[in-house]
Amino acid sequence: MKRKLLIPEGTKDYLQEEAFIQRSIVNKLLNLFTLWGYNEIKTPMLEKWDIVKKNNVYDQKFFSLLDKSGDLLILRPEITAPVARVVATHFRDHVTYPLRLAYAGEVFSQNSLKSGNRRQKTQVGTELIGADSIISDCEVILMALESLESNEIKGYSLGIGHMDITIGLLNELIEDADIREIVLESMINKDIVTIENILPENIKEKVMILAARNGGMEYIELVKNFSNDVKFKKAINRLEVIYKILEDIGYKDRVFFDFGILADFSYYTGLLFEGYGNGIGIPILRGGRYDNLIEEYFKSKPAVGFAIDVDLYMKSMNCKIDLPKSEGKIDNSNYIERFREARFAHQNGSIVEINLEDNKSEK
Amino acid sequence: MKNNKLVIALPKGRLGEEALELLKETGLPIDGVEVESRILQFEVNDVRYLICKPTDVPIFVEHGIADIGIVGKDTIEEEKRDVFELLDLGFGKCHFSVAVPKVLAYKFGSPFPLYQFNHKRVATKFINVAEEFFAGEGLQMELIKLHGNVELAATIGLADMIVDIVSTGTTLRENGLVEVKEIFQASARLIANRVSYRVKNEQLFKLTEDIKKIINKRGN
Repeated sequence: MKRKLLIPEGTKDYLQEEAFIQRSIVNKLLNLFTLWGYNEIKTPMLEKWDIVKKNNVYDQKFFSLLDKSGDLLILRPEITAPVARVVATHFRDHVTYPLRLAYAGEVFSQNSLKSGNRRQKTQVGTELIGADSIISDCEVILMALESLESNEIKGYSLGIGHMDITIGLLNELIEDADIREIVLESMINKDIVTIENILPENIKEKVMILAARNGGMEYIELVKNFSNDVKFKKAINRLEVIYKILEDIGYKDRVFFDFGILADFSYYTGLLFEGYGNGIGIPILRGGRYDNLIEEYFKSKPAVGFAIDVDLYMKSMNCKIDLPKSEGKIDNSNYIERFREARFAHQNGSIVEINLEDNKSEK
Repeated sequence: MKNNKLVIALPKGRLGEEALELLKETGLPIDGVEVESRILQFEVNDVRYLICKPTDVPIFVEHGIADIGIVGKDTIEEEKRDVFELLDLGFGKCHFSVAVPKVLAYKFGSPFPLYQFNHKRVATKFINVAEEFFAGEGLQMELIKLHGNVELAATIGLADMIVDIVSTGTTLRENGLVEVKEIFQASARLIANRVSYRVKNEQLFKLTEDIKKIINKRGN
């Protein structure tokens, strides 16, 4: 019987050019993060399940396996929780915060393969730990924008949301817990029809503005009087300051607020954002604030960060990266000279290949 | 999303015709667009139309090939795609039902005791809808996926019952089947890609509002 040489669904091989482009992109993004003071750390692809299961950090479907001693291991579905574990074990109180960290690597999940979803993805990301200032939110958002800008992501834009605004308002507006649950679920599933059908007129208008609209300062103006709750007001104020800064730096047309944006991982607490590129139907970049995650492992440390899906990023970029071309073959009949010439060329950074044929006389 | 044109996925058939009629009323250019021709793509001014099989509309929208699409709720429920569901368009009404041979229905009476049929065979085109419904009833059925004329499966004994879309009920009656349980009502929906809806929010929100007004006017 003929064997089918298949690789697991949702994975792929990267041949020379694509592998080169991917590596270039990863390096370029890590270099960008280095300029902001974020240095790379590497964590294992395998984590012990009993360490990451806390607080339902992962409610997604992941790959799991057993080691010899019977411990359940998982292939990491993202890298933020591993970074939190690193902070709680290596850094603790031994370093000065804020701490700026970056990472690049593979993540795995068994989510539905629809929508071109993949089981193995490459992510590059940053985490800013131990800062909760407005400026720290701003730094991370600016890095996200620069990441999209640096390889000319086609028509890129960034949508910004906030948990305290969306969740806070839903809690305040909708008294019935069951209905609130349905509305929240519908917002996550982007089911506007159910939201319209289930809510009474007086509440509907406000919730629909959260779920179905977005925009710049005018959108904030529209939403800001929906509540007098202290946390809500504080969140609005933060976003206003952030917008002013982004506007003045020149990103006005690239950012918008959208309180229908909700988190993909349950550890997010405040700011949320998503980066988009033309022609890519899913966000290229996702991030936000997760002030309570590190507390699960160590003690309370505010934190904010984002991750870029490198494959989606590559699909959307305008910037062309070419595989370096060979400058020729070295076929000096003297074998030693052949390698000497090659070494000389390599030392000068030229790509040359050795002629692999033996001289005729020696055959 | 591409070239900043608005890309709309429309289903072939009657649903597509009704959708086109609705889009025309909103003032979108639809000159020359047909849902029943061999041409699968039309471009009128700044709008591109893709004509696809109804079940494929959510796929084109989910991948962002189309910004928006019009498709039945039945297809959305079965396909489980990650798209924005913006508006109930009110037309293309039908419902999902469990149907059994008349003899069986008479024997067991009403309400039909589905619970006595756990692990029995169910033929359907809509595996996901059927599985979800039965799971909700605490039942795990042996589901048989068919691609059409599902009624046949129950009349000749391939399956004990079927799950299918019913609009008038004529086909069921003609095949000696009776509806014993309605699963849910469905009608046409306006859907949008999750990124398109955020990035082109103003345009798409306005279109949604325009359509809403037309539907409300029709309703009165």
